[in-house]
Amino acid sequence: MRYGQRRVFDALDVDVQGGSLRAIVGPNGAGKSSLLRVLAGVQTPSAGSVTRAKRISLISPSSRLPADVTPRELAGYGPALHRPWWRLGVPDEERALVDAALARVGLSDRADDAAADLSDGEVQRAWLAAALATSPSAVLIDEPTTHLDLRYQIEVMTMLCELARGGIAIVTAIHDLTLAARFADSISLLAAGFIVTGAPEAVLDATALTRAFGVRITTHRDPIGGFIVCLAG
Amino acid sequence: MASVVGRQVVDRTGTLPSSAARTGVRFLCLILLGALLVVAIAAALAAGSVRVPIETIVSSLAHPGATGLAHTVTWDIRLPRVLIAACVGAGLGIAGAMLQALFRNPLVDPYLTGVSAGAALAATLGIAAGISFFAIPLLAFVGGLGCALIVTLVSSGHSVGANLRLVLAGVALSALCSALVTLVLLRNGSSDALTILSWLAGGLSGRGWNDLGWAALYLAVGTAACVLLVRSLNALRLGSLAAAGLGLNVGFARLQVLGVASLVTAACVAVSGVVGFVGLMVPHGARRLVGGDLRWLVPASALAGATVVVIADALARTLMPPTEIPLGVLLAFVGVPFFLIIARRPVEL
Repeated sequence: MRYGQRRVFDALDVDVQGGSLRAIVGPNGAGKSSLLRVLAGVQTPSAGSVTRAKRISLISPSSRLPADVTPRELAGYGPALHRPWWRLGVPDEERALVDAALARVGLSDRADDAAADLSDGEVQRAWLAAALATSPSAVLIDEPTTHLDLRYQIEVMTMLCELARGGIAIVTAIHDLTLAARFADSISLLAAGFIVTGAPEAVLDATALTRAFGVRITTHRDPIGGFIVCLAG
Repeated sequence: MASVVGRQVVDRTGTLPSSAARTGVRFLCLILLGALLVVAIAAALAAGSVRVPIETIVSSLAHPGATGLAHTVTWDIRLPRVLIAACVGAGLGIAGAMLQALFRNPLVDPYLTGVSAGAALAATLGIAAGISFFAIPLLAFVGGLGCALIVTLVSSGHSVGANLRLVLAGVALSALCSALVTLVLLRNGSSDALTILSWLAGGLSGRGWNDLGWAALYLAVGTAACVLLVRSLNALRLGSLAAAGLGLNVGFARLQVLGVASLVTAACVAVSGVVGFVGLMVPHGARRLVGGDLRWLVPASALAGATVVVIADALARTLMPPTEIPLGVLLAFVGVPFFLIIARRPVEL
C-alpha cells in the first residue's frame, strides 16, 4: 500500500475468521486504518488482492454524526442501500433488522433521539447498530474507544466481544494495547510494514513493542483478570 | 443496557418527540408548503397589469376552450409562465439539496459544477452570432451540461479530495466562461449587449407552453432520478468513507448525483437564465423545517423552491410596471440579506 512515494506496507497476509475478535495495534502511520479500508474494499491496494466475504461493514465510531440523525435512521441507511431500487417504502424485514440491531447494542430506548442529544458512548453504539443492520459477516471498526471514558471503553469492548461470540468476525484498529490484550482473541501488530499475528501473550512482547513504538514499553499481568497490561515509559 | 454515568445533562421538561410524532410534523410541513404553493400560484395568476379575479381564474381553468381577454391572459400568458416558474424553483431547490448533501456543505449551490457559467457563455455566443432566439435555450442547455461534464472529468480520479477538486475546477471554469462572456459583450456592441445582459439577469418574460413542456419534462426526469438517489444521498451525508463502509459505491453515486443535479440545473437555466440564490436559500429554509434527511428535504425543497420563484416572478412583473425587474436581480436583493443571516447561524447538515 503506497501513498505517493511513501510505502506503508508490503505483502501482508491477513486472515480473519468468523466468530472472533481481532485487534490491530501499532504506532501512528503504521497503516492500521489503511489496512481496514483495504480489507473492507473501500480503498484499493496499490498492489495485491483481497479475498473477502460477501458483506463487510467498516465504521469509524468517533466520526461526527449530523445533529438531527437518530440511531434508528442511521441504522436504516445501510439496509436501504442494499434494497432493490424499485422498492420505494421501507419493507417490514428491514424495519425488523434495524430494531434487532438497535436492541443488540442496547439503544432501543434511545432509538429516536437526535444525535445532538446522545452521549459519545451512545453515538459509538449507534454506529455499531448501523454496521450490524447490514447483516454483515464481518465488522471492521476504526478506533472504537476514542473520546470515551474508561467505563464506556469497557462497555464497548465487552459488546464487541459478545458480537464476536455471536458469529461475526470483528476486526478493530485500536491504540490501547491493554484493552486489546484484555478483550481480543488475537492481535496483529502492524509496524514498519510488517505484521505479526497471534495470541495476545505471543504478540505483546515487551521487546517487540518497544521496537515497534520507539518508546520503552513494559508488560505486566493484571492480578485479578490475568490479562496483559502494557505500560509505556 | 442503560448507562447513566457520562451521559450529557439534558433539560427534559417533557417527553422527547417520538419517531411517529416527528414524522407527523414533517408530513404536516409538506402539506403546508403544498398549500402555500397553491396560494402563491393563485395570487400570481391574479396579479398583473390586467387584474383577473379569482373566480374568473377558476372558471378559465375549468373551461380551457373559452374566449375573452381574461381567459387569454390566464391561459396563454400567465398560466404557462407561472407553471414554468414553479418548475424552475422546484428544480433549483432539488438540485441545491442534492449537492449540499453530496458536499456536506450548506454553502453549495447548483451552479457549483459550472452549469450557469457554461450556459451563459453558450447563450452569449448564440445571441452574438445572431442565432434565432428560439434556439438559445437549447444552446444554453448544451453549454451548461458541457461545462458540468468538463468540470466533472477534470476533477475525477482518486476519491480522496474529489469534492475539493470539483469545487476548484468549477471555480476555474466559471471564471474562464465569465471572462469570455465579458469579451463578447465588449466586442459586439450595445444592441447585442442588452439582449445578452437581459438573458443573463434571468427572467421568464415571453415564456409559453412550449418552454413549459421542456421544463416539465426535465424536471420530471430529474425528480424521478433524485427519488432513486435519496438512499445514496442519505448515506453520503455521513461522509464518503462512512458511506463506503456501509456498502455504497461512492464514486458511482457521486457521478449519478452530479449528473442528475447538472441536468436539472441546466434545464432551469436554459429556460429562465441565471437565477441565483434559490438553490442555496431554499434547501436551508427547508432543512430548518423538516431536518436534513433527504426523504423529506427533497420534496420540501421542491415545494418551497417552486413557491419562492412563483412569488418572485409575480413581483418581478408587478413591482415596476410596465417594465419587468429581471428575476435574477430581484432574487439577489432578497437572497443577499438571507445569505448574510444564515452565514452567521450555520445549520449542521
